[in-house]
Amino acid sequence: MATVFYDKASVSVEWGSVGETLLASDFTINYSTSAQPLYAVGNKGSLGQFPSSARVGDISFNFITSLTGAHYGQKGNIINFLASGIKHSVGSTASGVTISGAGVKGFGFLNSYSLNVASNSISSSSASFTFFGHDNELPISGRLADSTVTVGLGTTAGGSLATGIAHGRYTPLTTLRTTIGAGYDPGPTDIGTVFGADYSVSFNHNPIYKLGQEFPVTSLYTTAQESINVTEDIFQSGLAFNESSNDYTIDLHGLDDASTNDKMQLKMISGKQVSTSMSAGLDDIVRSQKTLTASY
Amino acid sequence: MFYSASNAKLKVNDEEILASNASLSLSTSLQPNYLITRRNTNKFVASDGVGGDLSFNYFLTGKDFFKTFITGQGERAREATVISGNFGGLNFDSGYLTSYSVNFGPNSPAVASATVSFFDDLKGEFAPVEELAPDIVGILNFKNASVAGETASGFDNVENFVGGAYNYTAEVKPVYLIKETKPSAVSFGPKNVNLNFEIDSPSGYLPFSGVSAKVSVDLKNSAGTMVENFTCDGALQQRALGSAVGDYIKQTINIVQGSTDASKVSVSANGFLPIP
Repeated sequence: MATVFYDKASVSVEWGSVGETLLASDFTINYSTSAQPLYAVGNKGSLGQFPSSARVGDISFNFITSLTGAHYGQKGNIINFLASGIKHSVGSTASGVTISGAGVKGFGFLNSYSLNVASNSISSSSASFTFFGHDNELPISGRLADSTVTVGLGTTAGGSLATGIAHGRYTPLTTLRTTIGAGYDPGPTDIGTVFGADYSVSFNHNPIYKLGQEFPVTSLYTTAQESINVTEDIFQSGLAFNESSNDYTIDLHGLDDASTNDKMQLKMISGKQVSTSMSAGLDDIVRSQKTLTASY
Repeated sequence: MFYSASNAKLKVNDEEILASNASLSLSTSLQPNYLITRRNTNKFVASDGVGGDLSFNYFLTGKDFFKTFITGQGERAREATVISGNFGGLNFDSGYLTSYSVNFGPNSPAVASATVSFFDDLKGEFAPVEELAPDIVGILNFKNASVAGETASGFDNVENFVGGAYNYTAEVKPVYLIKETKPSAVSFGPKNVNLNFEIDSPSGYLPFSGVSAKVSVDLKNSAGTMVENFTCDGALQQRALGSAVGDYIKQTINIVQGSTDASKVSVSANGFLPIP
């Protein structure tokens, strides 16, 4: 019997030669089989429970948004790197990544990735992957065991913890603010102040199963949906029937205000505002929220 | 009085069938009896015998009893194995298999569909039963299947057989003698076996005369022993290609086998069906 304390249960993600141990605050792995009861006319009760689809697993975890993890091009962490890569991919065949937690690992396909950032707060992210398995490879393998890997935050900006984590203090998100103008000179009359933003992207995968084999021969990436919920102080009552689309960039900075390089960037391509709302509560200002969406 | 599905047993040739659903239909062949001077009538007269269909889906647990009727029914003149059926006590004894199909789906339990046509009215009375379901150790699953395919030109580098359906239809007509309402014999018309299969490697290859093709599906039990086989050995007559947003490109082929005897359609070297 293995008793593993949380400090020995890190979450690691590997793609090819690139790998990263995330600053995860929790993780959950599920593994399920489909046992479907079958019934026959003339008989009370079920004939038994029989499988009707392949075994699948999934993992979900929350982690601190690190800026100095594995990346390609823009700095960030491996989840952001994967999400960006899949989102902008023109290919259909998804490769999947190896994810392990406390000695249990699987070959997963990114389902969803989200992060939030708010004023004076540490940014946190979450991700979930689905394990389909592949050919004769089980979706999940291994047993509960201590993880020996250590968390590394990179070496940039002194490698200190503070510089490696996205924080709302130096993340103004000015690219997301609403600007309301009269439509003619003298130009914009009101510019919003952004208090926070929630970003999320979800991916759809299509595993292809064939006769005589439990696990898929391949998994195809099909579509992705992305959204940003922005909290600010402007209510866009002039929401158009068909809003114009714009590219939105989110730059997440750490606490090292002197460094302009240590930022993680997310880019929403051709996003459209689809909703706006506002709410008021006691002892607070009236806050508004807008939702930007994009699809890939 | 209403009953539940668990109150009506389905038996064919006195053997209980583990059917997930069953339906029994019965109809007459009445025609209105018009007079020359009238445009309407309430009088009807029989123009043909009484008959009906018993349709059901059932789980395959081993070698399929009904599949034997595909090759063993009406291959010789006036020789046929009659099927008797009983659903909840209502029964008939002049049935013939007119359609049979099995859908092949990855990781799915093997389920067959059959339709038995009969040419008589139903006997007996509905008699409900109350019995516990038996423990079934194994229902065959297409996880334990293997598929092999071949054409004269090769199967266009097909690597994966995703799923499909095996279908059999037979035309059965009753032969009535004077004063008979229950036929003393039946005549068998054309029998047809066809197989649809979704495959990979999209191709448009389809010669004018079709192409000889054979697909064989071995269904095994959990121990890996083959217990049933579905083979369609005939002419590849159709291809279809399609997709939808969020889905992958699906290509299906349709193979038709005109005969149901044991002999196989030979696969000629040039890829075209031999002309008899």
